[in-house]
Amino acid sequence: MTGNNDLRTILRDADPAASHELSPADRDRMKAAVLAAASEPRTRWSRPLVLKLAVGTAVALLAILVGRRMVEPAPRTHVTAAPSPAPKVEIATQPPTAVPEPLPAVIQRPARPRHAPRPESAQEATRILFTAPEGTRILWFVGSPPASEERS
Amino acid sequence: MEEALTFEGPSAVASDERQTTDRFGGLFDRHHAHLYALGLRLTWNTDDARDLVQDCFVRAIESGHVPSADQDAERWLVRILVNLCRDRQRRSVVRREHARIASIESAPERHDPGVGPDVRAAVLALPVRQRAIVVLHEIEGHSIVEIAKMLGIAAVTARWHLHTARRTLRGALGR
Repeated sequence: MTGNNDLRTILRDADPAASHELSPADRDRMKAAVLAAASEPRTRWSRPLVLKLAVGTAVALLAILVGRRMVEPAPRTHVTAAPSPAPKVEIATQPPTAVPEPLPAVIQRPARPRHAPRPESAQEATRILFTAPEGTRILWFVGSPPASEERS
Repeated sequence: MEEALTFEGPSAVASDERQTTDRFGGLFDRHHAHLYALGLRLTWNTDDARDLVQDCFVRAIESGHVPSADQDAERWLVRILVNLCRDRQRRSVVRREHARIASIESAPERHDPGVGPDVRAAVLALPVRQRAIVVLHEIEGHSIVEIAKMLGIAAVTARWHLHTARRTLRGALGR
């Protein structure tokens, strides 16, 4: 304790404020500066004002959220596919029998003549048959009178 | 102060400003002497003490909130002043570091109160919070609980700071 008392005595003896006081001129100057700062217009965020702003913001956010929820369709429900059943394994006691495949259906169509019938009014043609050792050649002369009739 | 809303007519705003000016004028009249003495004990420099007191009131005005009770107002102002002193100390440390790097010698301090240089050097070597606790307790005679309330710290913390500061000062002063 004596050490503390000594220390206290030393500090009080060396107190810089004991012999120095603020001069009246300095005090007036400082006070003028303080009052000038106090008279400056500024925005004061008092507690009720901050509370009102916070409540207003919260209400606006809530209204936006509720409005969006009302407009949105019902949320999609995820349908999970049922797990596919395990494939049945059948143990055949007998060898599988061949199943006869069904016969393809026969489409009944009218028989179509391979060559169209020669019209009745077709022009007569003369057929000349040349026979030679190299082979036979047939010549048709359409529209010409039969060779036998040209004999005059 | 809490009922002061700015969404009023110009006359209401003017009267509100007048009230604020009067309120801070009264605060200055009541507390400037103590704050100046505290600033001088913390900085040992009259210029710095003056700047601290003025900045303290400006900071108080900017906060826009003044405790209603006079004792609470004094504690609040003391806390602002100590915090300002800590800010200045940090800035001066940075400035000194820059000056050291640039090999610029700092100018000697002016208006140094005429006290022993060993006490001054020992006190200024303490961190600002410890310095404030030593000054408030040993010179101004405040209790630890009161100092803790002023600085916004726990009483145990204030006591520990005081103990550390005393030990440092004893070592520096050879006691």
